[in-house]
Formats: sequence, structure tokens, C-alpha cells
Amino acid sequence: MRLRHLDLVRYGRFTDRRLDFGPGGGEGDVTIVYGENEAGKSTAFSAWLDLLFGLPLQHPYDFVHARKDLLVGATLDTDEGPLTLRRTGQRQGSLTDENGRAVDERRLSLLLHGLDRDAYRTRFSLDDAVLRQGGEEIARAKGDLGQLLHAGSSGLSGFADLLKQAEDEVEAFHKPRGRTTILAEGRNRLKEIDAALAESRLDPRRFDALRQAVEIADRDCRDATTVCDDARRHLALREAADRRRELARRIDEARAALAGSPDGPNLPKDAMTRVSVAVDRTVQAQEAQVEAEATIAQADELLSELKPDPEGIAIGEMLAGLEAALFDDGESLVARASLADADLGRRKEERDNARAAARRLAAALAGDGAELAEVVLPRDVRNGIREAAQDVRETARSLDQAQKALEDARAELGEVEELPEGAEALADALGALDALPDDPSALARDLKEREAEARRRAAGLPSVWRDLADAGLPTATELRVAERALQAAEDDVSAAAERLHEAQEKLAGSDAELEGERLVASVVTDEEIVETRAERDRLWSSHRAALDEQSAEAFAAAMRGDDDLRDRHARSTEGRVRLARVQAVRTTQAAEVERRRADAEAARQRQTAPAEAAQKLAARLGLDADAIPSVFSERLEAVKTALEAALLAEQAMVHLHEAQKARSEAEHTVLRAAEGISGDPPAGQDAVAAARRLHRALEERRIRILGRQDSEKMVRGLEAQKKTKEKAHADAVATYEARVSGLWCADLGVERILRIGDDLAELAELHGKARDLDRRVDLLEAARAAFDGRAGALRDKLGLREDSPVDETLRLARERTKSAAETARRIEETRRTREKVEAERERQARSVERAAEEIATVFRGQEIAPGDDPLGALRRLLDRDGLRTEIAELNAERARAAEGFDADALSAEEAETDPVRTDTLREAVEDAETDREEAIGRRGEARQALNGALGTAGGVDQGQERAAILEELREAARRAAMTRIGLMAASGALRRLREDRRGPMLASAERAFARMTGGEWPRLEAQPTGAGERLVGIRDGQPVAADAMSTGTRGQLYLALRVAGHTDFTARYGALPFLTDDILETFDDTRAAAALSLTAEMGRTGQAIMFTHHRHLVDLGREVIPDLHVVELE
Amino acid sequence: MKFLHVADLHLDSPLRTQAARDSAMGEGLRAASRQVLKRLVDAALAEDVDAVLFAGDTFDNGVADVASRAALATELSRLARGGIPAVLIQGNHDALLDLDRYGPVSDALTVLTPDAPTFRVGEASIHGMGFTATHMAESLLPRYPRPDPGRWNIGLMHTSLDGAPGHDPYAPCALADLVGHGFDYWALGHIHKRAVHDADGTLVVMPGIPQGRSIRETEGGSATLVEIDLQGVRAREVPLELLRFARMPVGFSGVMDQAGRDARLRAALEGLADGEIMIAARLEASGSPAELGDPRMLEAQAREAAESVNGVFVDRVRLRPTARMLDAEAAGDLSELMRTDAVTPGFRDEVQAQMVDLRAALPAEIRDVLGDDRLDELIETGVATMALRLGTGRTDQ
Repeated sequence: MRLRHLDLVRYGRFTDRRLDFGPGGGEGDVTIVYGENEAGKSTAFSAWLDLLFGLPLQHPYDFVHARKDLLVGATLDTDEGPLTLRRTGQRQGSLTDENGRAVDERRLSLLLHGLDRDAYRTRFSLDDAVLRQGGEEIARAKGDLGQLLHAGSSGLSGFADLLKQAEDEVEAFHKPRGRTTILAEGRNRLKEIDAALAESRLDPRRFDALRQAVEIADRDCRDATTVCDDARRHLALREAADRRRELARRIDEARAALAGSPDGPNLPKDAMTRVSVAVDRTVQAQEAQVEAEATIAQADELLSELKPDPEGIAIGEMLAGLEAALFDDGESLVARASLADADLGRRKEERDNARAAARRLAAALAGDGAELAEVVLPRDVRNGIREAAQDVRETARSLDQAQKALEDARAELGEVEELPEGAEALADALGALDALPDDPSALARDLKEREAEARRRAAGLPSVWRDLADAGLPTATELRVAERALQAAEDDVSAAAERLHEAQEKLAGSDAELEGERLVASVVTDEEIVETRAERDRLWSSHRAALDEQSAEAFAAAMRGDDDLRDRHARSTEGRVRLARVQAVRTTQAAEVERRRADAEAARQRQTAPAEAAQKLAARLGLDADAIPSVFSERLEAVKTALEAALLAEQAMVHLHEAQKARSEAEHTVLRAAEGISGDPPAGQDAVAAARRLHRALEERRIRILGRQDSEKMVRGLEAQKKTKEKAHADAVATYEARVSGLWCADLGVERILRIGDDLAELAELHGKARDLDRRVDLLEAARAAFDGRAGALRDKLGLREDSPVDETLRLARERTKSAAETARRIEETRRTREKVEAERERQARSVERAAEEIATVFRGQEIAPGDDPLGALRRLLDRDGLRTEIAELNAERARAAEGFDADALSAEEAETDPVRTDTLREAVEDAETDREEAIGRRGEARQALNGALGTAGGVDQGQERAAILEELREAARRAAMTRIGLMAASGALRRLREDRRGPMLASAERAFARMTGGEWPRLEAQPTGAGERLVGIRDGQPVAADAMSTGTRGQLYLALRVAGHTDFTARYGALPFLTDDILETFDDTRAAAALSLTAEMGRTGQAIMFTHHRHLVDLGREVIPDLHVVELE
Repeated sequence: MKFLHVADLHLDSPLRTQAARDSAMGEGLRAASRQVLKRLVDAALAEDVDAVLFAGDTFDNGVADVASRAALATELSRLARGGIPAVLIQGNHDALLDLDRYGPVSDALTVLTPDAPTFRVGEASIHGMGFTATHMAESLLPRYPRPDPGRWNIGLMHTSLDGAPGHDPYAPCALADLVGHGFDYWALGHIHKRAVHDADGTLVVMPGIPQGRSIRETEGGSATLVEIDLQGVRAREVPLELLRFARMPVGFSGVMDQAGRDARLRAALEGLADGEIMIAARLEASGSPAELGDPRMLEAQAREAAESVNGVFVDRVRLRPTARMLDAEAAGDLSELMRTDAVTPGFRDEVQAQMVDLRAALPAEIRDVLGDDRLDELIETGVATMALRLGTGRTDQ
């Protein structure tokens, strides 16, 4: 395969750019693609790889064209001829031919001999980076000959890492004595699971043990409960006896205490409360009586000190009358008079100032001596004059504007023009011409393409294909039916033949078996017996007739033979049966063979009809009579496609002719219309264009005529507007004059009036303010006079002058009134308090009497000395009653302590006075309870163990995990075994492969290296190193290990190895384009020339393409490479 | 009348799949056969059947974990509360099980034996007898009672029928003989693959294992609901399984990159997904070496893809390369040499010797995976897989 063209249709910064690598041939096939940096060499290189292997999802060259629009193509020279391909960015079906039809990737894969993108990139392309990496790889190889020879050239070097990785995987699964391998850990886990499984699995024996444990625990529990109950009973009896003894002792003590108590009945239950309350109440009442006496004395003293003020009360009444009085305006007289005292002077001053300012402004407006009242104009008069003046001003301005617009419009009216006859006809004709739907030139191109398409579609079809199509093509259904029928018939024939063959084989088998039976078993048949017996009888007859020795011997021999045969006949019964069975089977099989043969023949005959039908269909499709039906559909589709293409081409032809005719007629109409206007028909090839120019001139004139008509209409409108505005102005002037008529400002004029508008307003405001202040001063003076008139008597009682200030009068009157009222209030309050305290003193005296009566009632019948303290007596009587109650309760409790016990046993126990007996019995109970609790605990544990075992999953979970781990190990073991087997096979194969390729590769690399280094390194040799070999170069007769060479030399050695690899590959599988990108940059001219010379050699066996941005390398290439093809990138 | 027929429950027998160790699926698969038993009882109660028929191998062995027996008792007690009897025969696996060792398992359970071969419920007579030894070479059919006249007759039998090549016969019996016995329905057990035979008005059903336990048990997963009335005998499946084992062929024809492989894998796995049950899949990947890519990467991709498909677990991935490496690849040359070498007797002997240590190191239960009878397959697959790895996994060239 070689690259003929690379089309960068939409790729990187390129659009529709083709790189042509020439036809090849000649002495070599080498192309140098020259371009400056950034000219697109790397882009072209990437495009080539993308064409072969598809566009990556993240694309570095989608900065001009979006990735989805990227398109790269190429024409490849292959053994089967040129192949044009396109590659798009689609995920599926991205490889197409030049017509967009999908191309199978495998077609390309075959041409590439199965190399993928990375393999091709590393084996058939080189750039500076790869060269440097290759050199480093040589250094890393440390002289390993095998690795060096195949580094980057044969594709074998990477296998070592893979095999090491596989080996690690095997060891990760298992290695002898390994503790952390998958297998070891799996086995350990299995052991753990087995232990857990034994614990959790509830097998019958374990179940029995658990159940027995429960039974034992139940029994132990019952026994312990019995012991515990007995101990508790003994202890209870002992404790009851102890209790009763204690109670008897306490009863005796209580009786002794009761002996010295006073006589009398038990006190009532509430005696303590009643006596205590009565005593408390007596004490409180006596204290309240003392307090009341003291309060009454204090009240009497206060009343003697307080003196009433009747004149102050009278002043208060006069003040109230004054404060209630109203002024003329309905407001409080006191408030008005107070205000007048405060404001009167200030208001008078303000009034005088305002009036003086108004007079000054009136003089300024109307002149000295003008009367202020005349100059001041009311607001409505002022507003009316101002509005009328503004109307006069506005109407005058509007009238001026109308006059100016009218003058401008009249000045812009142009000359008068007219349109000639026939202008409309010309416009219509051109419109019809332009409205024609089809462009004949486009239709002609379309026709050409369709004809080419029709020819292409018909290529490969027989010449009579159109006749076949016209005669009628079979339908797809017919083809399917015929194909299926023929296939079914062929299947029948095949199956019948197979069955016949099987039957024949069975028959042959039976024949062989029959022969074997006959040979091996020495079977004697009934027929043979009959024959020998007949022979014996015949010889007997002969002997009887002859009675000679000869006949006797013959008879004897026949008789012995017959006997022998009969004996064998008798002994071969079993064999005869087998033989008969084999014969029977053979007969059946022979019949089956005949039947199968007849079936096969019948099948062949049945095949005739569908075969003939298929032949007829083949003829209708122009195929040979022996064509197989599977190609019918393809041919039918091809003929239909070709027919469709041909019909489309014919239709395009008709379309073109119709379009041409319509255009000719339309152009003729246009020319006639133009002639009607200008008098002379347009001539020449540009006749229609001249007609168009004439049409455009007429159209411009039409536009001018329409423009003048619009202007005239506008002038008329402006004249009417002017008249309207003249009338409005006259009306405004008349109104103004009417409003100023008779006023002092009648002669001031419109503009003066508008200018002094604000002064007139200020004058009116000052004048109004002065008048308002006059009114307010009058009111204040009236209020003060009214107050003075009513306050005379009050001032006399207070001792004030008649003109005393209002506020002073009011203050003194209010103070005197307040003092008199406070004294009267205190006298009344003290009297009421004294009356209440006297009543309380009486009530407490009654309470003391009732308390004494209550105490006497409670103590009635008791032995108490007269005058005894009630509370002390109460305590003694209550103590007596308490002892009586305690004795009764102790007796009852002692009786209850005996309940539930045997009386005799209890008496006996009461009689037992051993001091440690109770503790001994209590310890016995504690021990028994402990034993019982332990037994209950054991029973619970046993039951829990059993229930737990029954209630849980048993060993299910562990069993499941065990099975899953075994499955994992099974799979891992299988994988490890397969990997180990693969390793064994791969290691051996790799060794052999390297051996096979070593010799030729070494020689080829040596030649390339020597040439590239200009003979400085004439030889490469393999030298043994212990178990292996190493690669050395010979320079100046001295061996130098590859990893000891300089960086540059190592790069050249790597290039030599790659050249050798290319040679090896090409020899084995065929040529592929080999691309380099600026790899000779660091080579001096001598070595670069040598490398170019090597490239020329590569060009003799395949195609070599070099990208470079060094002009001198192009020149150098032209010197050393015959038939060099150069492509320049702009 | 309605009956629910199940066989080969193998109670508490574990699932042989790595899916049980999967974090997402393991919990759902705990005590799988018990969950299946519970589903069976749920179905019986929902359908209100007249009886549940256990056709043998209810337990996996003759010394069942008592916890397993307790689990059965628990579920049968639910049947008893629903008034539904259970009828059971013993199969070859649980032939030696002493069901009455701790008293009756459940009031609802009747075990049919040669001494008491018939249980009658409503208008139906259920006849059967279980295995009394782990292997019974003779047919049990001659010992079965004749049909009860005027009643529906159901036969309960554990049998390998006509047998299968390579398998020992267990109470063998010809299908025609069963049909000719005169019963209306034969509820069979033993073969783990479901099969239905309908002949002359008699329905013979082998329901298959209700929960497959390994990739070898892919056809089953249900019980059979039987309806018998004057219109005849009808049977339909009642799904029970939690997890289905499935072999899934995945073709990679035309796929040359990881994205394409991923798409095929996802499509295949999504095609397997069943909203109701979990799937343990064995993927059988076919394609050319280039299409298959690196085997380890393919398996990793498959497991990764399964992560996003709910309820599907990739148990294993098997490779089926359809073509050899292309000639131009060094790996192609290498693989050809490997194949040539692999078929030589010397190589086989060497492999056999190599396998001895590895096999001995394995737990006894799984040593068969490296048995001599599998050597040829291991060699062929091992060499093919390594060839694939060499063809696609090189780090440099």
C-alpha cells in the first residue's frame, strides 16, 4: 500500500488542501514534504493517522473546524487498484468512500496487516522524540542482544514486561511457602469458616446436647427452688417469733408509762386543734385591743391641730368662674388674655414692617406717588393678564414657523417630468424573465452529474441491462421464493445424499461383519449340510453299484466329511445365529440403500424445477445460467439502481430543454418591449442587459415624478396652516387688550407684563400680610380688656393691682385655692379613721370571751387544776391518750404476726432463745436464693443457646461464604493455571522467534548503521556474556557496547535498527508508507546525506515520506535521492 | 382444585457464585433457599391452593442441620395456619433423613412412604413414595397404587425418568409408563431443568430447581401451579428464584475500541437485567483478538459495566476468539508458534507436570478444576488468552 493523495478537506487550519505524493515508480518512492515551522507538517501527519485509525474523541486540531465537521481523505494505491477513502468524526461508520458510502474497517485493517494506531506509529513513523527514546531504550537494554535487535523494530521487546507481569500474577495466586498469596489467604479463611461452621451448624448431635442441657437446667432449677422455699419458711417462722417477743416487751413498757397520767375520758380527736386555736385567738385579740387604743389617741391629737380656710375656698370658686369664661371667638378667655400679654407688641411690629415694604414695591412698579391699593392686582386679574400675554407670544412664534416652512417647501419643488409609453410592458417582461424557476447552466451541471452517475451505476452491468429492465425485472419476493426453493431442494439433495452415504457405509459395515463372521466362526450352514449329505448319498449309491475299493474310500471320505461337517454344524449353532442376524441386518440395510438411492434420485429430480426457475430469473437479470441465487438480489438492486440513475438523467435532460426554451421566449418579449420605448431594438449579446439598464432609468424617473407630486401636496397643506395661525394670533391680541383695559398697567406691553409677573405677585402678598396683622392686633387687645373686666374682685382678695399680669393673677389664685382644699380633706379623713378603730376594739373584746368558752368545753370531765395553763394541760392529756392507743396497736400487731403459722410451732420457736438462730436461718435463705438464681441463669443460657441455634440461620451463612470463596479460588486457580500455561508457551515461542529473526536483522542493521555513520562503525557483532549475548559496535577495530555509545550514536543505531525492522517487515508482509518528521535535525550534513541515502533505499522497497522544515535537507535530498518528489507546504 | 408443586429445594445448600461475596448482592442472597421457601409459602397462601407438593430433595443431605429443619417447620406452620396441607416425598439427597426424629415437623406435613402412599384432600388423591436409599436403581412405579376411581389422581415421584448420558439412573421410569398409569398429573422431581410433557390428558411436569445454585443450573427458578377441573389439567410457572444464573454471549464483531466494547457489554448486561431478580452472568465474549482486546481489561470493563446495571453481577468472563492474530503482528507470529508448540505431546506432558503442585495446593473440593480431563481445554484457552494479551497489552514495541 502507498499513499497517493492526502486530502485535508476540513482539518486543522486546512480547508480543501491536497498533498500529492506522486504516482511512485521510478528508481525510488521518496517524498519530502517541506514547510516552515507551523506550516502544518504535524497536522498532515496526524491527519494521515486519523484517516487510518479514526479521529480521537478529544481532538487537538478542531480549532477551526469543529470535531464533528473534521474530514480527511486519501487515495491509496493498493494491489487491487486505487482506493479513495474519507474519514469523518462520526462514532459509527466514520470510514467511507468518496461518495459517502460506509467502508468496512477490516478492508483498511487488512491493508495495514493488522497494525493498530500505536503499532503503526512506532514502527512506521519516526520523529525526534521517538528517536531519542529509542536511544535511551538501547541504554536501558544493557546490552541484551535480543532486546536491542528487536527494540522498536520487530515489536517483541514489550513482551518481556507482559510476561513478567503474567508471572507475577501466577505467583500472586500461589507460590510455594507463600503466606500472602491469594490461595494461602483463601485457605486460611476457609479454615476459619470451617471452625465457625462447626460452632454454628446445628447438627442433630449438637441439638441433642443443647436440648439435654436445657432439661438438666430445668431440673436443677426446680430443686433449687424447693430448697429455697423451705429455707424461707423456716426463716419466716423465726422472724415472726422474734417479732412477737419484741412486741410483748413494748406493750409492757407502754403500760408502765400510762400509770401516772391524769384521769378522764380520751380527748376529742380535734382537741389539740380547738385548744390551740382558742389560745392563739385570745392572744391576738388582746394585742389588737391595745393597738386600737393607741390609734384613737393619735387621731384626736391631729384633729386638734388642723384649722379650716373658708376665704381660700371662696377664691377657688372665683378662679373657677374666670377659667370657665369664654372670649368672643368661643375660645378660653384666660388663654386669649395670656396670649395677648405675650404677643401684642411683636405683632404690631410685624404689621408695620410689611406695610412699608409693600409701599416701596408699588412705587417701583407704578412710579412714585402711585396709590398702593390701585397698584395691587387681585390674583385672578393677574393670572388672566399673564395667560393672555403668553397666548400672544406663542401664536406669534407659531405663525413665524409656518411662514418659514411654506417658503422652504416652495423652494424645493423640482422640474415637471413624464414617463414614456411602454415602460410598464418592459417591467412586466423583465419580471417574467426573472421569475423563471430554473437556471439552465445549473441544470446543465446537474444533467452532467446525473449522466456520470448513471454511467457509474451501469458500470459492471451487461450491455443489455436496459433492455432487461424495460422487459420487466423480477420482484424481490420472486427472488427470495426462488432462492429458498432452490436452497430447500439443494438441502434435500444434500440430505438425501448424506443419508444414502450413511446407509452405504452401514451396508459396507455389515458386509465386513458378515465376511468376518464367515471367516472367524467357521460357520457351517444348513445348505452345506444338505450338500454334503447329498454327496454322501450319491457316493453311497455309486459304491453300492460298484462295490469296489475306490468307491468305498470315496464313500468313506464323503461320510467322514459329512460327519465332520455335521459335527461342526452342531457346534456352530451360535455362530449361525449371529450370521443369520448379520445377514438379516445386511438385507435390511441393502434395502435401505436402495430406498435411500431412490430418495436421492427423487430429490435430484425435485431440484430440477427450482433450478430451471432460478436459471430463468438469472436470464431476466442478465446473469449466467449457472449463477447462484444468492447474487440475484445484488444484481436486481444494481439494475434497479442503474435504472433509477438513468431515468433521473433523462428527466434532467428534459428539464434542461424546457428551461432553455422558456428563457429564450422571455428574453424575446423583453427586447420587443424595449424597442417600443426607444424605437431601436437592443442588439448584440448584451441586448437584455441594455433593456435592463433602460428599465432601471425609467424606474428612477418614475420615482422622481412621484416625489414632485408629494411636494406639491405638502405646499398646499402649509398654506392652509399659515392662515389658521394668523387668525389665532389676532384673537390672542384682542383678549390681552381687553384684560388690561382700564388698569394702571394698560400701556406696559406684553413682554413687560410677562417680566414683572413675579413682582406683582410679591406685592399682593405683602399687602395681604399687613392687612392680616391689623386684624390679629385688634383681637389681642380686645381679649386683654375682657379679662381685666372680670378679674377685678379676685385681684382685690389677692391684694393685686388692677393691671397685674394675667399669669401672676392666675398663679396666686390657684395656690391659695389648693392649700384650702388640702386642709379640708385631711380633717375629714382623720375623723373617718377614728370611727373605724373604735368599732374594731369592740369586736376583739367579744373574740376573747368566745375563746375562753371553747377551752372550757374541750377540757370538760378532765382531771385539771383550776388556772392551769391550757396548753400544758392539753399536752399531758394527749400523751395519756397516745399511750392508750399504742398499747392497743401493739396487741393487734402481735396477733397478726402469728397469722399463717402453726400456733404450736410458733410457740416453740418463741420459746427458742438461741441468739444466732435467726442469722443462721437468714444465711441459709441467702445461700438457697443464690443457688436458685444460678440455676435459673443456667436454664436461661441453655434455653437461649437452643433457641438461638434454632432461631438463627445455623451454618447457612458460613456455608454460603465457604462456597463463594471456593468459587473464587476455583476461578482464580483456573486463571492462574491458564496464565502459567500461556507463559510456558509464550516464553518458548518468544525464544524461538528471536532466534529466527536474529541473523537477518543483525546483518541489515549493521549495513544501515555503517552507512549512516559514514563507515565509522563498519560492523555490529553479538558477543557472548555469560548466559546471554550483548550487541557491540566495532569502531577502529575496537568493540564498543551499545549502551556505552554516545547519545547521538545511540540515536543513529536506533534508526538503523528501525530501518532494518522496516526492511524485515516489508520483505515478510509488503510495504507500508514510512513517515519521518524532522529526525535529521541533529545530524551533520555527511550523516544526514547518509540517512537520506538510506531513505532512498527504503523508497526502493516501499514508500518513504519525510517532513522537514530545513531547506538544506531538501536540497541535499535532491542530490542523493533519485526521482525525489517534493511537496511544499505554504 | 389447585396445587403448588415444587422439587429439589435443597434447603440451605449454598450458591456457588462469587456474587454471594459481592457487597451489593450478598445481603440479598443470604440464606437464599430459605427465602425461596418463604416465597413458595407466600404463593401458596396467595393462590389459596389445596395442597403444596414437595417432590423430593427438599433437603440437601440426610443429616440436615436442625436449623434447616426448623426453617422448614416455621414455613409449614404458616401453611398450617392457612389450612393448607403439605405433602412430601424424599429424594435421593434426603433419602436417609429421619424427619420424625424430633416429632412431627408440622401438623400440616404428610410424608408419603411405601407403607402410606396416599394422601387424600378434597376430591384429589395424592400418591407417592420417596427414596429409602440414596440410590435406587429400579423403577418405583410398579409399587404405586392404582388411581382412586372418581377422584383426581396425582402422582408424586422422584425420578431421573429415562436418564441422561453420563448420569446414573435414579428410580428410572419411562415417560410412557407414567402416562399409562392412569393418573391425571405427575409431580416429578430430581432433574433440575424444567420440562413439561402433555400426553393423552395426563400432564407430567418436572419443575426444575427453584433456585439454581451454579452456572450449571440455569433453567428452573420456579414452582408449578397446577389447576385440575373438568376442563382438564393446566400448569403454569410461579417464579421463586432470587438469583438467576445466565450464560450471555457477547459478540464484539466490528468493535475496535474500549468505548465500543463498553457499549456492547452494557447492552448485553442491560438485556439480562430483570427488575425482579438478581442475575449472575457468565459472559462468553467472542470476536477477533483485536475486537476482544486485552482479556483483563475486558473483564474489568465487564465488571465496571455491571456496576451500573442494577441487579446484574458478572460471575465470570470466558473468551471465545473467533480468529487468530493477523499475520503482520509480531504477536501473530508469536501466537502461531505458541499454538504450534501447545499441541505437541511434550508440551502437554510439561504442563501436566507443572499442574501437579498447583493442584495439590488447592482445597480438595476444587482440585477437579485442574484435573487431567480438563488439561486440553486449559492449554487451548490458556494459550489463546496469552496470545490475546500479547497482542493487545504491550507497553512498548
